[in-house]
This record gives sequence, structure tokens and C-alpha cells, in this order.
Amino acid sequence: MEIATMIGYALLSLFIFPGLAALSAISLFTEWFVRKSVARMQNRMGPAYVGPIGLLQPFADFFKLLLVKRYVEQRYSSPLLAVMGVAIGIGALTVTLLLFPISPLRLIASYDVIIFIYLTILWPFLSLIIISLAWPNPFVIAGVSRAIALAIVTEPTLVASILVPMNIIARKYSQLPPYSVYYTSIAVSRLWTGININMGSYIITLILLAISIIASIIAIQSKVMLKPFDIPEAEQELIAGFATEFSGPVYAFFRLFHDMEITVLVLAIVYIFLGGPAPFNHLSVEGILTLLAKYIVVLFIVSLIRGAFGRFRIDQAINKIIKYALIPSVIALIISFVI
Amino acid sequence: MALTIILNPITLMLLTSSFIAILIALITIIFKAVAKKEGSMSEDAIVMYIGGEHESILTLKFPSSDALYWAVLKRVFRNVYNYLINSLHTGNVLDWLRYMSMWYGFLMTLAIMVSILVVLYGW
Amino acid sequence: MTRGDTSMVQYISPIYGFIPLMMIAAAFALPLFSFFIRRIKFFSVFTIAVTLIAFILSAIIFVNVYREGKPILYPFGGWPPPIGIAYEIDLFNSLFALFVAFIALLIVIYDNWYSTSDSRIHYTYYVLLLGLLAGVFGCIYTGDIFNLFVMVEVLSLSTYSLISFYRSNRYSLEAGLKYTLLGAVALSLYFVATIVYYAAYGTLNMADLAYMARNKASLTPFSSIFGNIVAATAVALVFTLWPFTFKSALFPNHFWLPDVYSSVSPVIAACFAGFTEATAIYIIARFLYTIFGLGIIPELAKLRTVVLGALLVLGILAALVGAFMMAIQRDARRLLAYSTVNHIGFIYIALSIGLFTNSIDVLRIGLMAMLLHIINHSIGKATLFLSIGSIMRGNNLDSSDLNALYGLGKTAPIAGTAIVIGALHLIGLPPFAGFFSKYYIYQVYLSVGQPIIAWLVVLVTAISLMGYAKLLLITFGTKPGYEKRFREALQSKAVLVTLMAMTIAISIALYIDFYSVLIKASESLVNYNSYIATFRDFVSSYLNLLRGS
Repeated sequence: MEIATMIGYALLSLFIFPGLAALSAISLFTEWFVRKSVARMQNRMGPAYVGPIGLLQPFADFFKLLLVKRYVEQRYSSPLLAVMGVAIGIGALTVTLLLFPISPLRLIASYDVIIFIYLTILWPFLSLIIISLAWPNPFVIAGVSRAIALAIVTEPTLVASILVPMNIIARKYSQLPPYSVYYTSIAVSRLWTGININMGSYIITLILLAISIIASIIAIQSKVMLKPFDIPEAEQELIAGFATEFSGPVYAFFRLFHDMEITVLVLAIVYIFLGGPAPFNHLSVEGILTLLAKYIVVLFIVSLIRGAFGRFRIDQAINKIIKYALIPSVIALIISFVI
Repeated sequence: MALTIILNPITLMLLTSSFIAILIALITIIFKAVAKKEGSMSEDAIVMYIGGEHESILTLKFPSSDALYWAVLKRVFRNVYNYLINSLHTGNVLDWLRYMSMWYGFLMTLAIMVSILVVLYGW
Repeated sequence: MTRGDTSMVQYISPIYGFIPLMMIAAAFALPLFSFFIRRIKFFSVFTIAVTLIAFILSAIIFVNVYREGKPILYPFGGWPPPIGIAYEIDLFNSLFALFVAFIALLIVIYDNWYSTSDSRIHYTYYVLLLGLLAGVFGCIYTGDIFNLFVMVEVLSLSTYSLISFYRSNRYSLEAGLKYTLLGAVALSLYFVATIVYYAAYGTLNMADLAYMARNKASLTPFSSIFGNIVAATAVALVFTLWPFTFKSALFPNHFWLPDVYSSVSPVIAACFAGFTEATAIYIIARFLYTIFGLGIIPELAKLRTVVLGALLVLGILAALVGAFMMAIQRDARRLLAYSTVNHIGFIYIALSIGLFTNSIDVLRIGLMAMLLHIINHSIGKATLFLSIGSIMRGNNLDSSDLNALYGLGKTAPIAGTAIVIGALHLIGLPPFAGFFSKYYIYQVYLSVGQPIIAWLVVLVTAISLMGYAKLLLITFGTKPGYEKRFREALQSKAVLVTLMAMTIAISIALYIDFYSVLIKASESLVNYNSYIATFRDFVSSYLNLLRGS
């Protein structure tokens, strides 16, 4: 392989598709979708002014905050650190997509799920802490401390539920490189359609996959701090938690980062559990439509939960995650390596 | 069409890290290029927002590091911490010895069992 | 080796046995110097010089062993191994010693600033420090279990006194007393173990023991319990494991650790976290993978499986207890102590991979993860202790209370950055090297079909975030009235920058060639054949020499 071709592919994947540009666009669309559907559930209009049915509202918000608004400094703040923190998060989330089949440049290694976990789960979380502490404030510290408390149960849940399909595939298809995001998303559709396996193990596999999908959706809900788990930002109670003092361009990037987190995690569910465009190809119309449909369905479930619940207290939230997501996903993981 | 590269994990990690570094640089440059700072640094603008209080309140009552994760520590993992603090890490040497001798006892039982098996059955 | 070949005996370079002797000689030369020289700076520079020589020598030893491709045996005083003391240096312990020398060198350079500006320090401190290093190097290089006992004794005596060096501080004295009492018990147990080994096998040489344990041989004529090597080994292994799990602070033998770390100077705490505990882990790995490793007779193999299982369970418990306790600490150094408990747990989890597999391909990756994690943990802990020491000294703080330290990272930019980098490195975030050791722990447990253990490591990492975030607040927090920076000492800056660079440099080195070196080193730990062969060749070569004369 020529080095120039590789660099070309890398630049394309990193900056255009599925990199920074495309991911930002999809994330802003995601934000619109969540806002609009939650608003409709609550009998509100939702974004309506910019673009058809308000589709471009998040873009307008982003560019207004970025280009027009100014940011306010405070005596102890360091805007550069905050932006670096956001950039770490955005960078990690963007690069994660290179591990998925959606990218033109696909990077694969055995056990790269660990790299996926660190890039998608741990680094964005750490970058959230860095951003927040760059603008110190008692409310921010309280918000961060709550975010960390939630993370104790959220992240193991997410990891356990992601390991379930990986583990089943590593055991069933031992010729593939084990625990790789790419090969899991290619092979996972075979688990759903149940080729070459007997009925009993097929049903068990389906149950395990269903449990781990539910667990991972709950975990995502809490990871991106949507409604029942919006305790760290806790509007009104903690002013705005860790986002209390953000303004202007810093806030624009922070919101983009937050939307990207939702997008990448939902995409991860779509690929790792649901097989992406399966049963079609990426480059066919049906494939793209299937991919989009799966994405919208998962996103709609996320918005549904966000619209249906009020905020939990933090200890309730942690107990609920342990009860409905952590324990089921760990049991699923144990069963997946017993069968 | 797509370029699929199978790498070893170390290379993959270093490659992704350098990609992230490129993106960090890019975003920081964008920020530096477009961000506008509030021009006038009035006294109002440079203080923290603490519900309208002056920040000198922080010297009176500083949030202590014990207050972090209070809910988690005191409510969710209450049993874990009760056990850890009240029976494991009491600071009393005699309590320590109880746990240390448990491990010692386990090893000792193991040794004795093996010896008995060997002496009786030749194993 | 052909019959009649005596080359192995005749050309033995003296450098292999030189480091511990040189350190002990240097340590006992200091009281003599103290008659003429009063300046504490001199003793510090002397210690640096000795450590530097040790570093260079250990590098030469490592290169020699690497070139040789098989272990090197050095008989002390020219006595052949089963009779005399022998050092047996393979790739694993030569690499480990090189790393220890490197960390020790950094610590004593830092100490050149930290301790010499402390009025409570006098020259005996350096005697003890050199004694500690001598003990550590002796433990690492030795191929003889009784010499190991002596060297652990040297190491322990130094640590007992170093812990209680601040005689006016009652916490120091209390911690020292607790550690000394329990440590003395532990050491006597190991002494009993050597007696049992000797009674059963009739030898004290590690390679000889390894050979006999695989051939059910014994030099003693008894057929009683002592003549039966299975029973004797079971008893002796118990008396070996308990002391060294105590020295390496594995749960539940970790209780001394928080008291000790929070009452000694950061330099000594960095020594503890940097290499004394790691040395004890090395000894356990040597016992469980070389002496009683693969290919051992089936009865002992069963015993070994049970022991590895117990170590795995304790490793997981240690990791959990450490992670939970980190969250509720008020004192930065106590927090770091529990972080050490946590990481020692990870290291033992990696060490216990032999429970699930006997395949060398998997074992060597597991042991590589163990070695890499030891290295990463030492670097991270040294960074954190030394930077916290700098901040405490710079702001004239006596305690390392987190509320007092909160926000003070801004008064010292380099030390403040070092705290952040050290914490991220210990959490195991890529691209810091801490990621890779955890990565290989996950990988090795996923590859033997144990995703639950891999998941437990993730769980523990998530819980430990609570503790590390408290450390991040030292740098990122804001305390009104502490905006002024103090001047950091040159030594502190140099050492901290080196340590920070190491966290990234190891990642890059892994990419270049370090990975294969580590793999070879861990393979040499499992490869009992060449370990035994070196010893047997040496003996036959010696016998040839005797016949020839």
C-alpha cells in the first residue's frame, strides 16, 4: 500500500467522513431529533424557526455561540485548558469511528474493544472533568463529584454489555480476530438471524443480546446525562452543574462534544449489537436506509426515556442503574461465557 | 473502496493517539481563530458565580474534600464502607492480625491438607 | 556443553556480584567519612555516585545477559553453586534490576534537594538508604534462597529504621513499630521455610530446587515428612508466600502500608512504592514460575494451582479494597497508599494467569503485563509522591491533607503538571504507558476465556476514579489567596520532567522494540529449562576443572 494513499484515506476519514465534519453534522442532527421528539412528547413545539421543521436550529445555535457570542473569563478560569479538554473529548470520539465499518479507513486489531472502551468511555469522561475544572466554581465541583459517582456504575455497565456480543462471537467464530469492534459488527447479524446454530442456544443468544442492549441504553442515558440521570448538571438545583460558567465559543464546543457523545454511543449500539446496515451493504441504498432506521430507532428510545422520566436523586439513580442495568449485564456476561 | 488495515494493538493505539493529537491541535486553532473574549473586565465579570455571593465566602466555608461523593459513599455503598471502616481498616493492630492470620490460616490449612494426603495415600 | 569444557568456570566476570557488595561497602564507609566531613550534601552526592555506578553496572549486566541469550551464573567466592552462594541472572531479573537502578537513581537525585534541606536528616539516613538498595539488588540477583533471606533481612532492617527515622514524630514511630513487629514475624517464617527446603531437598540453590522438584529427587536420605518433597514443599511454600505477600502489601497483608506511607518522607515512600514492594512480587513470581513453575510433578502442580487461585482472589479483593478506600481519604499520601494496594492487586491478577493456562504463549504475555505494570506503577507512584513532596516543601506544609493541598498545584507548575500526568498514567489512559499494562491484562484474560476478570479490572478502574479525581483537584482546584508561584528546585524539576517523559516514552518504546524485550524477559521467567541448564552446566564444568587439575 502506498503511503500517499494511506495518508489520503486517513485525512478523508479523520476530517470529512466519518470524521470531524460528518460527525459534527450528524451530532447536530441528533440534537435536533432529541429536542424535537421530546418536545412533541411534552406537547411543545420544539425547535421550529431555522430550516424546515427547525432542522437547522442546532447548527444556528452552534454557529451563533461560536462566532457571535463572547466568552466571559473569571479570575481563576483558563479557557485554553477548557478548550483542550473539549478537544480531547471530540478527538477521542472522532477517532473511535475509525474502528467501525462505517469508516473508509478501517483500523483493526485483536482486542481493540479495549481501545474502543478507553477512547469512547474513559477519555470523554476525563475530558468532561478537565473542562469543568478549568472554570472552577463550587457548583462545578459538586457537579463533577456527582458525575464521577454516576460513572462508577455507568462505565462498568457499558463495558459489561458491550463484552456480551463480543464474547459470544469470540467463542462461536474463533477464526475471526477476537474482541475486535469491526469483526463483531460484521458477525453480529449472524447471531440475530441464527445461521448454523441450534434452537436452544439461538434463543439464549437472543435473550442475552436483548438484555445487554437494554443495559447499554440505560448506561448511555446516564453517561450522557439525559433526563432521569441529569443529576450532575441538575438545572435549578446546582444552577447548571459543571456547565455553570461556560459561555460563548467554549459552550458551543462543549455542546458539540456532548452531542457527539450521544451520537457515537448510539452508533456503537447500532453497530456492535445490531450489525449496522446488515443484512445489506454499506454502499447500497437499502444498507444506508437500514443503518439510518436503526440509528433513529435507538435514538428514539433514548429520547423516549428522556421524555418519560423526571430526575432521580443520585443514590436512587445509582441504585436503579445497578438493579436494572449493571446486574443484568453482568449476569448476561457470565452466561455468555458459560454457554 | 474501503481500506482495511489490520494492526497490532500498540501501533493502533499510537496511531489513534496521534490522530487525536492532530484533532486537538485543529480544534484549539479554530478556537483561537474565532473566539472573542469579553472586552471589558468589570469587577462583576471576573468573580465566580456563587449564587450571587462574594467569593470571600469560600474562605469562610471551603468545600472540604470529604464532601465529595457524599451520596455514593453514605447511601449507595453504605454497607461496603461500614464494613471497610468499622471492621477492616480500624487502625487497630489486633483487628489487622485477624485478617492477616486468616490468609495465613488458609495457607497453613492447605499445607496441612497436602501433607496429610501425602502421608496417608502417597498421592 | 561438551565434556571437559571448563570455560564456564574460568571466565567469570566479577561485575555480576559487584553491585550489592559495593552498596554495602559504601554504606559502611559513610560513618568513617562522617569523622571528617560534616556537610550533608556530601553524603547525598556520594549516594548519587554509588547509585549511578550501580545503574551503569546493571545496564552492562543486562546487555551481557541479553547478548548471551541464556542466564548467567556467578558463584560467590569461587565456591560452586550447590555449596556456595550463587547469583543467577536471567533476562527477567537483569531487566528488573536495571529498572530499579533507574528509579533509585531518580529518587536519590530528587533526595539531593529534598533531604539536604531538612534539618532532621543526618548521615545515617544515607547509610540506611544504601543498605536498602543493597538489599533490593541482592534480592533481585540472587539464585540462592538462603542468600535471599539474608538480603531481605538487609532490606528490612533498613526499612524499619527509615520508617521511624523522624524520631520526634509519633506517627513515624508508631508506623515503624507496627511494621517492624509484623515484618519480624514474616521474616522468621521465611527463615523456617528455608530450613524446610534444605531439610527436604538438601540444597538451597534455586536452580537446583527447580531441578529436583521436577524429578522428585531429594538429596536427603530420610523418607519421613522431610524426605517427601511434596509435603515439605507445601509447608515451605506457605512460609514463603506469607512473608512476601506481606512485603508486597497484598490484601490482607497490606495494613501497614497507609500508616507507613503517610508518616515517612515522600522520598522513602517513593522508594517503597517504586521498588521494595515490586521486589517481593518478583520473588513470588520467581518461586511460582521458575522454581515451582511449569513441568513440575503433578502433585505440586495441583498445589500451585490452588495457590495461584488464592492469589487471584486476593488480587481482586486488594484492587477493590484499594479503590474503595481511596475515595474516602483525607490525606494525599494515604490516598496514594491505597492506590498502591489497588495496583498491587492488579499486578497479582496478572501474576495469577498461570491458573488458567500452561501455554507459554499466553503465560509470557501475562507475565509481561505483570512486569510492565510493575514498571508503570513505580513510575506513576514515584511521580506522584515526589511532586506532592515538592508542593508540601514549597508551601511549608507539614501534612499532606487534601484540603490543605487543594489548589496548591498552581503554585508549582511542574509539580502540578506531574500530579495530573501521574494520575492519568495510573488510571491507565492512553497514550500513557499505564494503558498498555492494563491492556495486556485485559487481553490475556479475554484470551483465556475469562471476560469476568477483565470486567472486574474495568470496574475497579471506574471505582478508583473517585480517588484519582481528588488528586486532580490539587492542580485544577482553586484556592483564593494562593496564586503566587514558588521557585521549584532544579533537582525536583529535572526528576519530575524525566518521570513524566517516561510515561509517554515507554509507550513509544513498546512500539519500537521494547515489547519484544519484555516478552523475552517474561519468557525467561517461565523457561525453567535454561535456568536449570545453566546451573548444571556450571557444576559439570566445575567438576571437569577439578578432574583436569
